[in-house]
Amino acid sequence: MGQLIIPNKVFFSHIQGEIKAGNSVRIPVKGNSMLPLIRPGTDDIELSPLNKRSIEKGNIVLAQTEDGRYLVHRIEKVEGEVVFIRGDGNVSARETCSINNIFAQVTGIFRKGKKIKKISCQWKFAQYCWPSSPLLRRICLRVFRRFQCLAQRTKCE
Amino acid sequence: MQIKEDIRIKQIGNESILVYNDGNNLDYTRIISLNQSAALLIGESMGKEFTVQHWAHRLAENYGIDKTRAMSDAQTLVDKLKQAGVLCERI
Repeated sequence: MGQLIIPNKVFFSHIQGEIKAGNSVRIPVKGNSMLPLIRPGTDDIELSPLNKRSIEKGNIVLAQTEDGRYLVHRIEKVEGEVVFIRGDGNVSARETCSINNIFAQVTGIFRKGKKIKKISCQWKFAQYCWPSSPLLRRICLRVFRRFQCLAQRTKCE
Repeated sequence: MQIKEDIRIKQIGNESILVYNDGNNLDYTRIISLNQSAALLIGESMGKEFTVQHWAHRLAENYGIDKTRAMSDAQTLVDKLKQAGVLCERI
């Protein structure tokens, strides 16, 4: 079994087409920017077509930023036609995009054969309780990573 | 034999791939990459019954190869697809 590498732009413009056609897709996760809720390597995410309530603070969306990058980040605020997004795992980095460049919403996370839904406690915790302040976020991420290391070490032993 | 109903063929850039549709999602986490000839045969056979002989005939016709080689190539493709769970046999 091999790995097929497709450039991000090509892959996500295809995914955009699938979403426009009304399909939901399951894709693998790369990068740490949505830690601790979405974890690279172990998690897949479900992207679904947008509805009237998708572009609201707290939702996780697939967006194309002004510099052309495709990101799956959480909406921090919406000001008219401009949407501010930020990864839960990013201490202070924020991105902006046009409301028209939001293509899909994340409606589920697949981990170890189970689906974490938007209504789950884990999801709600990340949405409402994960700190916004850079300092608190840095501390929480450090604690999370320390726990992850400990869990991995325990597994190896 | 037939391609399973929950398998879809997609084109991403220059790549032809097979994806699994689990009823709710198109699953892009486990995809099968196809070469040009496999994409042609599978694309033509979606929703239809076919045999190894039929595929061998199409390969010989399209790529001008001899029947023995076409038969061997078609059988190899069928074996790989069976192993990947893409094909189902009609009883």
